[in-house]
Amino acid sequence: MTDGGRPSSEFLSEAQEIIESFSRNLLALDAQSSAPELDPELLNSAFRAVHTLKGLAALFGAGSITELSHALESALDGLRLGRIQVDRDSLDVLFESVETFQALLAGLGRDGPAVEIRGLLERIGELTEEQGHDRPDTTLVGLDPSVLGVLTEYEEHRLRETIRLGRRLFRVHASFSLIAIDVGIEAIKGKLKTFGEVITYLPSADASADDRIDLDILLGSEAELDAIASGVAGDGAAVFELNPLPDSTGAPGSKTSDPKGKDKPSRPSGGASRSSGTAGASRPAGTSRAATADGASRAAGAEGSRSSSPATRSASVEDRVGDDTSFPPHGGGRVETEEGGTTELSLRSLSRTVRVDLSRLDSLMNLIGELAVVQANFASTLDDLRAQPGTADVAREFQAHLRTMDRKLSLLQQGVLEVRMVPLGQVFDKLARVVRRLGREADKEIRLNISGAETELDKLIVEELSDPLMHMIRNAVDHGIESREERMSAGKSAVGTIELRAFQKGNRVVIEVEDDGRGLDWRQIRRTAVRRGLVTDLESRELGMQQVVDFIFAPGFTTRETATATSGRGVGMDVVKTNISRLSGMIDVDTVLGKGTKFAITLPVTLAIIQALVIETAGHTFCIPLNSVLESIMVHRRQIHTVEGHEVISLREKTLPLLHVSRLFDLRRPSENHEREVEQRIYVVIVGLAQHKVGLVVDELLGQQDVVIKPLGRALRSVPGIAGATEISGGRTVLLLDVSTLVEEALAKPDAPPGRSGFGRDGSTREGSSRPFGSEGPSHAH
Amino acid sequence: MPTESKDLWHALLRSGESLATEDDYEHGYAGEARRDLEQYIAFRVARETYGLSISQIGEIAMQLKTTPVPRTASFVLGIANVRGTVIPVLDLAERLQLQPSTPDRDARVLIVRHEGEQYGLAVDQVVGVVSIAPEDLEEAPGAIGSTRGEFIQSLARRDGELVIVLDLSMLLRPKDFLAPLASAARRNR
Repeated sequence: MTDGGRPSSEFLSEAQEIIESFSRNLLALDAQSSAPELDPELLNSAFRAVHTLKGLAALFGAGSITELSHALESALDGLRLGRIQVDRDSLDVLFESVETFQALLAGLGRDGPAVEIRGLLERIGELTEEQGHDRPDTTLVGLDPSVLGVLTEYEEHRLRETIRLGRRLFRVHASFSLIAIDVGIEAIKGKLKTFGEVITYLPSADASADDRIDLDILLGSEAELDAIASGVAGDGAAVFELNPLPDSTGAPGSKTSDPKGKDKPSRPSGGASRSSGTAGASRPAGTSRAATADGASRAAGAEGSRSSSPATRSASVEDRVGDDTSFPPHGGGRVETEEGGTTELSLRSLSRTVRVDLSRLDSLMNLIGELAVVQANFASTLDDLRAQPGTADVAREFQAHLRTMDRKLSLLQQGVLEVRMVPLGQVFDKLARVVRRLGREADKEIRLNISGAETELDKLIVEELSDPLMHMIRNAVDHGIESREERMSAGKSAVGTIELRAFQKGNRVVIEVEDDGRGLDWRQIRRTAVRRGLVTDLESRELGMQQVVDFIFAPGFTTRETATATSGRGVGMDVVKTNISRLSGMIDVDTVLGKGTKFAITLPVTLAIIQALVIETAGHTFCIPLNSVLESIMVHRRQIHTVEGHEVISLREKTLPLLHVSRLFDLRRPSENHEREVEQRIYVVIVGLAQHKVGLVVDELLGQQDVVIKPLGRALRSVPGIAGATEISGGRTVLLLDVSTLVEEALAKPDAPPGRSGFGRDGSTREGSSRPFGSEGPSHAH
Repeated sequence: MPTESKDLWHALLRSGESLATEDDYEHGYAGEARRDLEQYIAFRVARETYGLSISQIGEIAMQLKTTPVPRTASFVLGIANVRGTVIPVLDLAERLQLQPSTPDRDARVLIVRHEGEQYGLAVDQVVGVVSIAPEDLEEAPGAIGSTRGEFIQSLARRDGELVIVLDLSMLLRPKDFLAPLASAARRNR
């Protein structure tokens, strides 16, 4: 955007939230689009979202966003008034708008080519112009023309819809004292909403006293008159059933079984939709049946439990939509007027949430980490104190305080960590849009089942996850799910299914992407691997299925001969793997040929504070993230064997390659004089990376500690094998090992044991080391 | 830290910078006031005098405790923790391919800000603040040594002494921080 300089982060995050809520509404609409009836509240929410966005964008001078939301607002208005059909084409345009909004937002404040919105605006324009052609012409008869005259277009539309769907129409007459009118209206509307849809409420003409106001509320419902009457009995309201349907005699095509509906409890049959006739307004309003509140009380129990379905549905949608957006839940009931209601909503933010820049939380986290260091220093001071004679009492008191501080500190840490947590739903919603779009592009019908969207992860991890998950979803749509014909001939349902699941497992979160497609053909993968020279033909024969399947994570690997627009160009799974391991996560594949493929990503809940194992080797201290440590053992030198020049140990009948941290990093002891004598026993830290396990040889295990990871900055960020730095007790700054890179590096060495060569190698810089690290003065020869 | 400001004070005196006296405050500063003078911190590395704009320097620290980082270029002394932020520390002599001298009591670490991040530059001695007029700066001559030239932004002559103004963006080029590839071969020998 060229206008308006740098957008405020406030605007960005608020606009983002609005667009996300808009997108959720669209997804819900898409899911309902084949149903006979749409939840009107979804369209209303979408309309309000865009309206709010328009106001916000105009305020911040984001021209293109304002323009687009303005056009979209008109289209959505047409949709909610029933002038435009909610169908695939109109939804396509709406979904495209979501993408465009996001592109526009991303482009804000950044130089570069402006996002082109002309095409989209034209398509929205076409949509808007169509309106009016297909106008439903249910005639509203039986209603007082004076009432009809004051209905807004939207209210009239809802009225027609109510009739079209064969619902009953009720007039609820209530009287309120002027003083308590707002409370009274809310109360009665809340009750009425459980029965159906409040279409409008109008001041009644026959006001009885000066200090009272009488209102007529129009209610569309499937419930019985008696049930509604008893529902609002406490509010002193009278309920009348109206019958606005035209007489069958004058309405060709009308199938209303009993237009008068007088004493029949059965509702008008569902076919009563579009009665197209123009039968005269012979029936005056409110003639059909009346039951006063007191009179209806006897029928209370019978019908009271039957709440109408639209109410329950819209409630569940609101649960989802209303969680973190700035839109208040609509259950409280607000006037759905065309202009007034929406304006009111956009000005009020009822959510009790605060938006915080992540960097502020980071600095809080840093402070907590430093406090932990201070606390560790206190502990060592306590030890010093104990060594002094005659200090036992003071020391005991000191220790008690220290313990309290320890507890409070971990509570504080826990609290800040929880603030950083966001539900995965944000990402999942984006993926749902991707599935929809890709499915249509590939002409495959795909159902996406999402579960565990409420699972929470650190905001940073969630952000980093969206790209890898996107790749995996693309793969599932393009490679996984077969074409409709292929599925049919394989005896599968024509509709493909992708399951997106998230759940917490201990202190880790597992995300699974599973499709019921064709599965991975491991023989074909093996052939491709041989053809690409990743393994020799001979070596490949020794590989197990799991090892072969792992080749899909090799850079540039694809079994496709031709690339499609979405995938098949061989970039993807290696990126996925790299991104996941950067988050100290692991990825596993499980596939059955012809049945489907399941990818499972396991991630730590947070990266801000981790538990680390502090080790020492060649006089240098390092931390290893505890979540990748399987166990630490002590091994006698006798137990080390060599296989083709590589040191290995046997652990529970499995052979484990050994890596010396000091050799990997070319470490020298700071002082050569104190050359450590060769110990007979060595410590081995067993670390695991997906299916691969490796033993890291170290000199000392110094213990475990919670550490705050600090980034190394631009210059040192890409040092292979180092994930960051952290401060440990004693105020020392130490490096945190990037276990996944080290393990991969070891496995990728050209002289690695057979079966592993060439796998997972990504870039030659990984091997570099310039000088004996940590040595003083000129370098020594090996 | 008091010692540093004292250092700077002395340095200022040594460099002949005119300082406002009490009399000046009373009767107005009589010294010539030029607005276009830019202030530089002058420091010594291997007996040569270098300068960096004062706006690039966040603070001057005494020796920092560094943790060495493997697989980095030889000029990377390691990382240091400056009030909770981890910053890389460079040996400026090594970076400029000069003869390194053993650090003594005068040695300091300049903490510079560059593109939103901080870096430490280990130098032999901080000389002080010097003001340099734009006309006294000359563009770096193309070939002062072969590699060193790219780190030099401009040269200034002050009181008969040459001040070499460094170009931070070249000095702190991220790709140089990683260990050169050639060493991999050496390691495998």
